[in-house]
Amino acid sequence: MTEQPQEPLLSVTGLAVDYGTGRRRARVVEGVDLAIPPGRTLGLVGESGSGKSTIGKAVLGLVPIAAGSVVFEGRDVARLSGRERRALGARRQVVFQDPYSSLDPTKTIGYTLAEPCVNRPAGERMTRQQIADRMGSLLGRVGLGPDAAHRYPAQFSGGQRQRIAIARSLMLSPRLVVCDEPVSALDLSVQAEVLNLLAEVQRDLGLSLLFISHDLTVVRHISHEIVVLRGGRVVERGPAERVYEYPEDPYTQSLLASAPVPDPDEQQLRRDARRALAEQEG
Amino acid sequence: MIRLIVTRLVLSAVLVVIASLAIFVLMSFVPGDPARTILGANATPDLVARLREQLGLDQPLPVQYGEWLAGVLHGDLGQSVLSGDPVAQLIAVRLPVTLSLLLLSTLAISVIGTVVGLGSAVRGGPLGRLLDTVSLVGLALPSYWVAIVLVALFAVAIRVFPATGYQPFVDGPVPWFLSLVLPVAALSLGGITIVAKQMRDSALDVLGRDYIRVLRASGIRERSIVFKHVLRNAALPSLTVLGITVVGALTGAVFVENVFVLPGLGSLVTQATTSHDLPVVLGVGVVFTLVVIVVNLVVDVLYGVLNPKVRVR
Repeated sequence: MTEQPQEPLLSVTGLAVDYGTGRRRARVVEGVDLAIPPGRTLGLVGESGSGKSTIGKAVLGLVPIAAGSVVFEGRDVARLSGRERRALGARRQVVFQDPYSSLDPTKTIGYTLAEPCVNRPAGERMTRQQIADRMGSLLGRVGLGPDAAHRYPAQFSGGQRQRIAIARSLMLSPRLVVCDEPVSALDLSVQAEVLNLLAEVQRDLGLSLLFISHDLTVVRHISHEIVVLRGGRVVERGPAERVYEYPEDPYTQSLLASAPVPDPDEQQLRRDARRALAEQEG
Repeated sequence: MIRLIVTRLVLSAVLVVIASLAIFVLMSFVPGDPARTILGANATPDLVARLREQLGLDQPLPVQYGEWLAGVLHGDLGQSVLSGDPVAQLIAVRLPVTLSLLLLSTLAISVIGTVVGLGSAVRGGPLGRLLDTVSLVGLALPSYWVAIVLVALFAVAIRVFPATGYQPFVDGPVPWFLSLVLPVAALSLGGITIVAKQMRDSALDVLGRDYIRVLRASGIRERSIVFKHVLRNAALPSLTVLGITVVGALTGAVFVENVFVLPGLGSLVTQATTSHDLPVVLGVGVVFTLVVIVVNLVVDVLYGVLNPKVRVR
């Protein structure tokens, strides 16, 4: 990879996040540094409870930051006024894990897609026609017909809903999309389709993605760089291929060994590797 | 939607027959004889027998019921055994009182319950925890007890509202409203806490959904999120609870009307039951059944309006 260092679109420095208050306060993320250059994808991997989703929420401004900073487009998001933060929503979007909970069941798809576009601050206002055009082209882009706009979430499958969620995240032409386990609730075949779609829009639109998953194999295909998280701390980071092929940290190795693969011979090798790792640790 | 309403109307006719039959059978088990009530304890058995024959009470029970039902089908609810007044007329005079009580209570339960429940879910903190506790207490307090306490507080200790009596709406809305404040409060207190608790729980559930997170991350205003998404989605289960509560308030109205001496259907049916005035009891029973059917129909229609899953078929 030979390219000159760019100003990162998102940089997270020394991030710490606490949950709970008073004596029940617990630090779930501690001293995490991340940087995503424009048009690149960072994969964030870890087991459940490792703090990966919390980092995503901190980047989105959904949880308070206890220490450190989140700088997006050169500005510290914690120090923005309410209006600036709302404006930021246009350039920083999200796709969540659960396709059943991520769309309001009482609203049509058209309403859900258009909602972030209305009542924007003066500079980025869109006309009704612009919104409709954009909706049509994005629905086509994620493989759904324009008639989808008049239908309700209950009329779509999980995979289709996740496509709708991706379309929604792109309505405002964001520069960063946080994908929090976007495929882990889907069937294997649908997973591949949605992953390909994400990789495609990332490339075509020059998006930056913060891709969060517990599955290293999923993250590998879509990421340029991978950060491995355990217990709220970074244990390994590096280019995607390197981390996947030659993991250095024992935790990354066990994470890799724990993922099942369709090839039985490969699976046997992994099982042996996992046992060896377990004996080393125990 | 139209098919739903037509089906319900057909069903309601069946329900009225079943309900009236149940009332009829139950009343026949209640000891007491209207002829003896009218004539007094010193009447000769001969006199009592003659009056019974006059009133048709000597007929077998199925014949009595059949005659009543035939009358109803011709739009005749019969006459009061005691006063001889037409039952339809008795009901027409007293229906506005009970309906006023029910409508105001429904309004109080839905508006106050929604505001308190939604507010406590969105604002959280002490108000939410207080509601969790109070809703249990509100559930446990029977409306007739609340009624007596309210009279003692606001009509005897602090004289702000009349303790008893009813002022018709046509004589002016202000006295009408004042005369109903305490009865409505007694009748709706329990319902308010139930609806508020349901609203709070479902609003908290909705607030934890990912689409709310997406909207927040997109910079949509909190006010818009609460009214366009949280309220709309949380309203569905609360509406079901509201329907049940309003039907329950119908029973509560019988007690409350007696405590506050309101000349409504509840106090009418109480008098009629103690004096064994069967046509009046049956007539009021029919009206109550119709009210329950209408409440359920309104809930179903509103449910269809609010929930696309019901509508899209």
